[in-house]
Amino acid sequence: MTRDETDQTIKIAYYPGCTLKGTTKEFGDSIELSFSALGIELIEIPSWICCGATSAHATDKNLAIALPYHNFAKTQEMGMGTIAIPCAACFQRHKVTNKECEREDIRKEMYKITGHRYDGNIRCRHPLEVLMKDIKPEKWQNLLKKKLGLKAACYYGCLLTRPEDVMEFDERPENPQLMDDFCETLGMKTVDWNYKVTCCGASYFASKPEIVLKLTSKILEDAKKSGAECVVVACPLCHSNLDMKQKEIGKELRMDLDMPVFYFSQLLGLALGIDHRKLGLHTHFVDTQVLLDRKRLI
Amino acid sequence: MEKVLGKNRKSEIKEIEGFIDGLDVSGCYQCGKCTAGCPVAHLMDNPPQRMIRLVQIGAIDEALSSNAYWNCVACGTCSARCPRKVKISELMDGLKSFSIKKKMTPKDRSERNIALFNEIFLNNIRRHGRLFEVELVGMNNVLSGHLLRDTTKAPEMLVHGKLKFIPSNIAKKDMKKIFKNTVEKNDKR
Repeated sequence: MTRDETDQTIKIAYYPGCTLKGTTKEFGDSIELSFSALGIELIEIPSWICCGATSAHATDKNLAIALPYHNFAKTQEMGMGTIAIPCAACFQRHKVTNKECEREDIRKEMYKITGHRYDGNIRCRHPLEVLMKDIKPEKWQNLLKKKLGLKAACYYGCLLTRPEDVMEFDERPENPQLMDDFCETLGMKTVDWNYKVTCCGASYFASKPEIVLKLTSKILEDAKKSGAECVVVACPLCHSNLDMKQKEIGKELRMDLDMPVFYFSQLLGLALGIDHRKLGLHTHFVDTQVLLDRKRLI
Repeated sequence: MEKVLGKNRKSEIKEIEGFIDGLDVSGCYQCGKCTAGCPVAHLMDNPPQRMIRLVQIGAIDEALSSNAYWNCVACGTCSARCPRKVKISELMDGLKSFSIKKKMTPKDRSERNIALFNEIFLNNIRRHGRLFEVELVGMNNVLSGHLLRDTTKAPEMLVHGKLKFIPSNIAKKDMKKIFKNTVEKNDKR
C-alpha cells in the first residue's frame, strides 16, 4: 500500500476478477464506489487474467499456480506492493499461489511456464482486511453518514478462511468475527449462528445444482431461525447461490425465507450515503427495497 | 509395506502423493472427523476417511474408480479439521488431476458433468483470457443436455446489464503459453 504524500490518498492494486465485471457487477461497482468515497484509490491491474478457480486446481496444479502468478507478475511491473481482491474465490487462489511462490524453485518453474518474473513480495489482501486490519475503523468511521440498524447473519463461506495457515484471515477460522466487526462498525447487529463457514456448494451451481440446493437451504434456514433480517457475504458465488436460488429453496423448505443477501461493500456504500441504485441494490433476485425502506435507509 | 503393496502400487501412491506437496496419507488414524464435517459425504460411495484408507493400503484402482473425488466441493473443511494435518481436500484434487491425466471418465452422468464443466471452463478462459460467462453457461447447458438450466434468470440479469455478449479476449499470447506449458504438456506425455 502506498500513501501519496501530496493528496493523502491510499493506492492499492486491484484485481476485480471475471464475475465482478459481469454477472455480479453490483459487487465490483459497490467496492469501487465505496473505496473511492473513503479516499482509497484502486488501480486495476492491466491485462489481468482469470484465476482459474476450482476448474484449474482440479485439473492441473501448475496451471492453478501459473494463472494467478501472471497477475502477481503484472502487479510487480506496476511497482505496487499490495493487491486487493474482493471475490473470495479469486482471493483464495491468489493467496495459495503467493504461499507457493515463497519457494524459489516454484518461482523458477513459474518463470519458465509464463515467461514473466515475480519475486514473491506482493501482499494479497481482502478489502475487509484492508478496512479492518490495515487502515483500521478509527481512520474511516468518521466518514460514515448513516447507521445501518440491520440485524445480519455474516456468512463467510469456505474460501475466506480456509486453508487457515494460508489465508490467515481470522484467528478464529471456525467462528470468524472480522465481517461481524465490520458490520458492527456500520451500526449493524450481527447474530451468532451455525453455518458461518459451511460450504454453499459454489462451484457446482452449473454442474450439480442439486448439491447447491441442499447446502444453501440449510444455510438460509439457520440464518432465518437465528433472527437475522439479512445475510452478508463477500463472495459472488455465495451470493448467486443464496440470492438467485432462494425462491426455489423457499419452496422446497415450505418457508417464506425473504432474506435479502448483501455484499459487505453494498452496506459500506449505503452507510457512506451512496445512492442505492448505483450500488446495484435493485438488481438482486430477492428484493432488498422493502427491508431498506422499513429501516429508512433508502 | 513394500511386500504387502508390491512395487507398482507403491510407485502409484508416490505418483499421487507427487501431485500434492507435503501430502502424507500415512498419518491418518481413521478418526472420521473429515467425514463428519464433509457437506457432501452422503453423495460419496467412499467418504473422505475411506478414501484416505484406500490410498494408504494401495488400493489405488478402487480409489480412482470412486465417485468421491468428483463429488468433493473443495471446501477444505476436512483438511482444516484433521487432527493429523492430512491434506484430504488436496488429495481429492490430486485424484481428479491424476484421473484426467490418465483419461479416465467418471461412471455416472452427474459426475461426468462436473468433469465436463471444468473442461468447458478452462477452454473458455484459454481462449478469452477472462471468463466469458454467457458462453460458459450456454456451452455447459448444450453439452450437458440441460438446455434450459438457469435460463429463466437471464431476462432479469439482462435488464440490469449483467450479461456481456462480447468476450474480453485479453492476454491471449500469455494464456496460450501457460496452457501449452501445463495441461497441454501433460497431454503429450
